[in-house]
Amino acid sequence: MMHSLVEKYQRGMITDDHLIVECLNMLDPRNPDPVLSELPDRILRRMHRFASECLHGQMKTNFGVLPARDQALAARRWIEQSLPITTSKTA
Amino acid sequence: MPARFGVTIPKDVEVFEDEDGDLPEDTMARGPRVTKLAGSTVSWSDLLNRLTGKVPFLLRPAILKSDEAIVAVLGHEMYELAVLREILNEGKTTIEHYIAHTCPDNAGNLHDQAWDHADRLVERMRSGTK
Repeated sequence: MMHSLVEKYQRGMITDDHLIVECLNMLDPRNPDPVLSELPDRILRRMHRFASECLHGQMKTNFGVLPARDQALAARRWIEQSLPITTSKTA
Repeated sequence: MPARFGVTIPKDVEVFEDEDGDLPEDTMARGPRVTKLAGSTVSWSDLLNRLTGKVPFLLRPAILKSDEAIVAVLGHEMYELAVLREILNEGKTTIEHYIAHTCPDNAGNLHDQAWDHADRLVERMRSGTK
């Protein structure tokens, strides 16, 4: 399933954000590794930003299911532990 | 073939057959999924696969069996996308507006107008004019 999704992305069949949403939807919050370890760093960085948005506000989509909060949280944590992520802080 | 009947597929658009049955039963074709924070602006780049730089469309394989279906469905999708390109380039379209423009069952919206355009293309095709 995961392999097929990445392949669709590489063929150009889905957008970057579509890949990110589908990956978050299939992610087990207790074990994000099988899904996230398959993704390139560029997508993971974008996913980090996307997951942060999911946690801080309401997301809207033109079709399909939105990721759950625990999936977004688990992804953001996993990415922060795996990649050097620069987070901007505001007062 | 679609170009002969007034359907132009831009160079930055790529149409794929739905080989895996990802489309819902009542959907003939579908453009890119767009997911954004409520109230945020949708830009043209949100529609692109960044590896190819193209907007992906998924097409039900059965459509390819009928010339009229190809012209109707692709004519609808390309009309909708052409108008969206202009709208998104203005930089003022929120995700809520984007959804309102493109969702079915919203009488008179862009999605609806695109079906009217598709109907005209098929009528011209049947009458033999271009």
